[in-house]
Amino acid sequence: MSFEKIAELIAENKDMNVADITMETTFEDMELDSLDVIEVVMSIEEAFGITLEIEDSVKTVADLVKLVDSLVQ
Amino acid sequence: MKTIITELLGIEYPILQGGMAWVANASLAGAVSNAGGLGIIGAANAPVEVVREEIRKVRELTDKPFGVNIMLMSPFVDDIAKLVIDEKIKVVTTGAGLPSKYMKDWIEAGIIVIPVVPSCGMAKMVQRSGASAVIAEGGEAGGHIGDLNTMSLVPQVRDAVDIPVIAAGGIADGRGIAAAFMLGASAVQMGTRFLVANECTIHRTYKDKILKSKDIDTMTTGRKLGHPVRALKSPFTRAFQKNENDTAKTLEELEAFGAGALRKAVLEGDEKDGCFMAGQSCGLVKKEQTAVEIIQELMKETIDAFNGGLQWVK
Repeated sequence: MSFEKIAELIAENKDMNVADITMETTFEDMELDSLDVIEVVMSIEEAFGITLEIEDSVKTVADLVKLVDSLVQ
Repeated sequence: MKTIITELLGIEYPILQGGMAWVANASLAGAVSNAGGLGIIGAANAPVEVVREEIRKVRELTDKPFGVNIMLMSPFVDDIAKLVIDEKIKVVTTGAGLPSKYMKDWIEAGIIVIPVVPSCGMAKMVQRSGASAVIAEGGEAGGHIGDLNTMSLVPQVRDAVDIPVIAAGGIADGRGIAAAFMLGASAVQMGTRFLVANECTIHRTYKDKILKSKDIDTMTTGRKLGHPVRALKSPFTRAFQKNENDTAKTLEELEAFGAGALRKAVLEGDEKDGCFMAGQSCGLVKKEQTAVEIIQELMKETIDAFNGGLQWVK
């Protein structure tokens, strides 16, 4: 499941409790600024072996999971 | 002075002039390029016709290389991204975001892309997208700034990527340039020093304020908006700070309060409502000179600083 892995990567990167991250959590909730998002994206790319193009429409963990799932086939 | 950057860009000295909004026009960029540095036109929020006109003016002033800085939050960014291809611009620097989605087209068009980066993650990201170098700009700089300072940022970016690093933020003399090289940079970008170049066309009042300014005369505003700006302390910055601390003010109101303030400073010298952006190095900027004089002096000072590197060691 990409959600668990992504939540874990965000939690590890941003020193958060993984239990606080749900599909509905937004980047804003987690207080991730644009530079934090880059760090998270890079760790996801490495873990999944993919390249992500993050658009402004990606705002929640669910958006991120959807994007990753579309690339990991 | 030859470095990997002077060879990459085909310039004589490892000095880039920052693509400052409203300030970095054809007059300044042409003069810096003629002086052997890399002059850069700041596209900022300007529409495509205005930027095209400046590019053509630079070409009348010089046949040396010059660049265009693209501000990625501009409402015209898509058009400007195309313009630099149509106009066969040699060097593009970018600010205020990740330029990834434009980079493929630029690189295919043979453009040398050098993004301004405030962190190692972003430096790695743009390296992957094909950047030829990065400008690691510390928070001492004027205008829109990141959080890390030049002293910490440059060596970390140097270690994070394999492409050349250009240091920016807080550099206004040869000692700063020599120090930047020690941190791992192979060129520098400077803004504040060029504000008082004879060829810089900003309002007389703006130049006088820079010449008079001391070390403690800048401040940052706009942290609450997520994009802090460094400028000279003024009635405008104090009023902005007051609004920022006023919890009744919405972010939209705050944005609206800042709109147009730089233009008022640059074009009108408006001491009340103008935002006179400047870096912390403003206190080092003491005299007006031509771009040639500035660059010659900087290079002499740099060599002196290198040669005197051990002067404080017993």
